[in-house]
Amino acid sequence: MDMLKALVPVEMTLASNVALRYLCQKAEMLGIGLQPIHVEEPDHKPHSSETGWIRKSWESGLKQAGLEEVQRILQNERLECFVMPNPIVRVGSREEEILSELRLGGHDLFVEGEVANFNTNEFRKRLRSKLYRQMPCPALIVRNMIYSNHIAITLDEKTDMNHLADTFCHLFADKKIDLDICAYAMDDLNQSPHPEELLSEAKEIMTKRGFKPLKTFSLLGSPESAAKSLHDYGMLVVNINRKSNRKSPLTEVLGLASNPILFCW
Amino acid sequence: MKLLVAVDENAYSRYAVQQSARLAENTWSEVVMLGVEKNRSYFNEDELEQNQAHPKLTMLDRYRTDFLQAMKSDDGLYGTSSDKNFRAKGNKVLEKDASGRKHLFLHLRSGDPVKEVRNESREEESDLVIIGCGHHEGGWGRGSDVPGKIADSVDCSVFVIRENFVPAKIVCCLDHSNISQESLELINQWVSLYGAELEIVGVLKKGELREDLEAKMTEVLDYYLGHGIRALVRVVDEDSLESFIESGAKNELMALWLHQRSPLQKLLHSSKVASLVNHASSSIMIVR
Repeated sequence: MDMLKALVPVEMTLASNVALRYLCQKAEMLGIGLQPIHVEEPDHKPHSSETGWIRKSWESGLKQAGLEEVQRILQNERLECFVMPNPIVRVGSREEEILSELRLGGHDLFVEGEVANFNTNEFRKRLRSKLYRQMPCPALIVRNMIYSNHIAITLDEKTDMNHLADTFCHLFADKKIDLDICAYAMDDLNQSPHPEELLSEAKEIMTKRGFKPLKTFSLLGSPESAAKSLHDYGMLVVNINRKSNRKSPLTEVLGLASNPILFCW
Repeated sequence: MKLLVAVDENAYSRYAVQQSARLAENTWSEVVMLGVEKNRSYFNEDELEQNQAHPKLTMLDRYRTDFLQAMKSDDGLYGTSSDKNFRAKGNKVLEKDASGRKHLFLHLRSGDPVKEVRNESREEESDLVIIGCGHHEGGWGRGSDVPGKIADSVDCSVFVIRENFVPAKIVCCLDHSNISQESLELINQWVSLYGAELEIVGVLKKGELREDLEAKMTEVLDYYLGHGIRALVRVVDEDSLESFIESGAKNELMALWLHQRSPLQKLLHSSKVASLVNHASSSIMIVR
């Protein structure tokens, strides 16, 4: 299978630094190459609103500065995975430029870092942003450098398991993966379908596609305790409805988790 | 490193002594173990045996035995003979020299515990004060908030350690970028001693992580990952910091990097540091 392409914003931030390292460490497991992108967001000073030649040379100056920054960061990190030689550097709104590159560039995955906040509002805001609602490929949010290659598919009663399995198989085809499946609910009373039913269906779907889980388990309790129980996994894989604005217990768990999260939507 | 272990007669002090021994053994620290007794002027000291006049000397001797027993190796790092007597050091301190290759002194002072621990830490130029504390109360006397006041008033780092505390996670909060190498290594020691997980928490000011703080968090993360220590990063809003610290679990150590100009120091000034130390469920380390 061809190498998958992951679009990764490269910035001078802790989040970007953690994402790059994590991604490089998992590059073999995912079979991906990194396509760096850097967006210089113009300020609102007069020079940026000029037109014609003045604007063009100002923009190319910004682009050049952006390119140098990306090259410096990549050089400092000394990444040992495959990084595409030509970073994409754009000037404009970060969200718009990344979205447009994802739509036109045929990327298989979008990866960015995020430093988790105890206040989960920031995470919800991110999921509700235009970028996340409209991106045409799966997204991986990296919060920490977790070395484990053990993956947990984490689902609830709203998970579209077939869609999750399709996307998962596209990314992990032919790879040997240590996989668990976990069904989360605050409690198992009055749950329809019951977590055990969700697990048995999910296990069947994944096994048919050649990914037999090592373990399936239901996780009950508060989002805080659930997030703690999952903390050893190197990646959580989920499918959530990004059109819905409603808070769900599963998104609360994801908001509190320290793990990298792969959204298969 | 110079350790000052402040003890009283409660069980948590014995626990603190044992944990201090583990740190001392790993770092080859110089150690002073300090007991504080009340000022008494109603009897003539000369008419009594030393141990009768100062019962806490026996307590200090007992803790010294606990200290030595808690060490895994017995290679004469600290003295094993107990035949020396306590002698007056100046007119304020009774001292027993129990040193081996490294200094181990037992000191007894009289007066207010907070003032005496502060004076001792200044005179001995301690790097870290370790003090035991019970769960859900200050200890050191009924209704007292001595550990909290000590944490607030001494100039060096302070570790307020709760009885039977075995940390699964060490949570380090930082809001400024002037972190010393010594303090990083101190955290490193506790992480290695307990095999604990480490979480580095940056404090957000008005929802933003300052650039220098972000760079420092990257540096701290690099340092620990480079030492093969599992380290996580997270941020917390300034407004939620106090409740976040209070929410620390019994098996967590909350470490706060404070220095005079630190916004954390302003946020957690005086009574707040004391109150946090006295009411938190977790052990707390103030790293200066």
